Amino acid sequence: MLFPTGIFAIFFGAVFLGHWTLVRVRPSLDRWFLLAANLVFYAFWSVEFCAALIAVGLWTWGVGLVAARGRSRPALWVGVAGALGWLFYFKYANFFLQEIVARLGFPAPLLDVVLPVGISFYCFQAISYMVDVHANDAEVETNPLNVLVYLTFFPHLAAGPIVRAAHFLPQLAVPPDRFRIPVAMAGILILGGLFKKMVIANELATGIVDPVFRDPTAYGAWDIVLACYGYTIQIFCDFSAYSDMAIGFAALLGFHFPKNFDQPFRAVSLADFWRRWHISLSTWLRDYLYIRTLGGNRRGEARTRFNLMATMVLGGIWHGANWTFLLWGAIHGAALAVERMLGGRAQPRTKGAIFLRWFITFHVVMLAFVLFRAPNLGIVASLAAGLAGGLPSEAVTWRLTALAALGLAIHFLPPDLRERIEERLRRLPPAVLGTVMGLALLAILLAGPEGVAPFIYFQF
Amino acid sequence: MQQPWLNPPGTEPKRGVADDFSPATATMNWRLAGLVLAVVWLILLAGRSEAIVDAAYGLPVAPGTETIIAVADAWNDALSAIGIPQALGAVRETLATGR
Repeated sequence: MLFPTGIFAIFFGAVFLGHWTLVRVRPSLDRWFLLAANLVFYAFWSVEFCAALIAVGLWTWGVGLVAARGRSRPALWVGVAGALGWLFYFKYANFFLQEIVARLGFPAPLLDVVLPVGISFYCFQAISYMVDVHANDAEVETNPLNVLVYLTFFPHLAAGPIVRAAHFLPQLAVPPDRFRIPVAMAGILILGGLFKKMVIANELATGIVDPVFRDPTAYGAWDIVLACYGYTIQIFCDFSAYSDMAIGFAALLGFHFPKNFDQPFRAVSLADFWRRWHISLSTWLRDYLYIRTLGGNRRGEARTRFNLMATMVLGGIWHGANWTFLLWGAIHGAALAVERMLGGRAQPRTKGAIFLRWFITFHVVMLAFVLFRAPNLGIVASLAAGLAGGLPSEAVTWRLTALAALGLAIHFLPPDLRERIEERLRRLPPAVLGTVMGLALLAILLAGPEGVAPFIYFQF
Repeated sequence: MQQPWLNPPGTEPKRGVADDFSPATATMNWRLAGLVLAVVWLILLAGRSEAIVDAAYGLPVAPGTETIIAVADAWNDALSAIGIPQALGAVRETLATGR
């Protein structure tokens, strides 16, 4: 069930009514209701995987009980290994069999594995819960229902943001405040997300990115250039749209999610970029992999550079079993290490230096995203060859160029724009606010292409 | 922007730096929030009447499907009589300029 669809509108309307009615009359039943809603949401993709989702939730809860507050480190390792094993089987079994076992000359059957939607996100949350309760960074939860609602909560279930237990579980301990629902904030996030997804991302995808990356040999140099820039904008508009809408829908139900994107393409260094892009994943990788597992920057400069590279390569592979993802992570890891070596963490002072740093950062990110998007390295080679080829560029239009420019331009809007709009909207009576939001929603639906493509991060 | 709950345990949030967990200002109670959503819903029902008819015809054959189709058709006919789908179609065409 995708957010920008009629079926989700019906589903969310029913959940909104049921949830707030129960909060008012029978709060004790509300979490059961939310769990049921989460499973209905997930069942639209797969009924079978609902059972698996519950099993992972109960596993996480059980390990949390055994390993809490520094008790039983082996139980923690078994718990984390279980969650990782589950993730690895679905994401990497075929890659392992075909790329390693088959190359060693052993028989390697192609497994019929279907990747469950959102598996990475709920597994990462499960791991963070187990590690945090073991380290006493989060309270252990004795009620399995709360852990299940936390892991399966439908706004973040399919594509994040990755919400930490210490942030979410306390919100389940008391009924949400039915007198303080941030409707304007949620509306701005949802409508802004819809605009990014429906108008910018969908059109860039169908108009230039997908056709060019499918067969670069049929396109001219400017088509390829626009497709590369276009994908960078598309993935931001697609993924940040999902995060914004997830935060908005959670807010309408009285729950707070962390911000996941903070105008990433205005970053002036790679380190700055990772503080702004997919914040919930980059902080997850920082806390659980870079610092806790690898030792962070406490073991000397050479080891720090290795740790950066290892973290980014593993972050790349997390996206899927493909050499292109590995190279994407390696480029980021190498760029972070080089940046650290050159003292790139110091803030540039002059306008020229700021622009130069921004320009370099943006283009490193953009070129890495070309690898991220390409289905294989052969396509990357075709793209590079096409830049020097003499084919005419017929796919570039002013509309696609303007949409790509718009997707970049929104990074340079005031960072507190949402709060400013919210301030204006707060004065409107509810019926007028509803009319403004409804008309804006309609305008967005009219402006975008027909149909809704799945969000890019659903495949991860 | 900072998100204090992502800081290492025991770290105090920085002073004077905005975070996205600040209390939202424009809040309302659940009844008024429901009213806002209901108005949004009504506008969607009016603006997407043709899509609703398409969706209704796509439903699997089951008890009640015919009623849903009849209601969707009647709703779309009523709106067509006052020209809403036609006007929105013209807007869509204008917005598609250059596609």
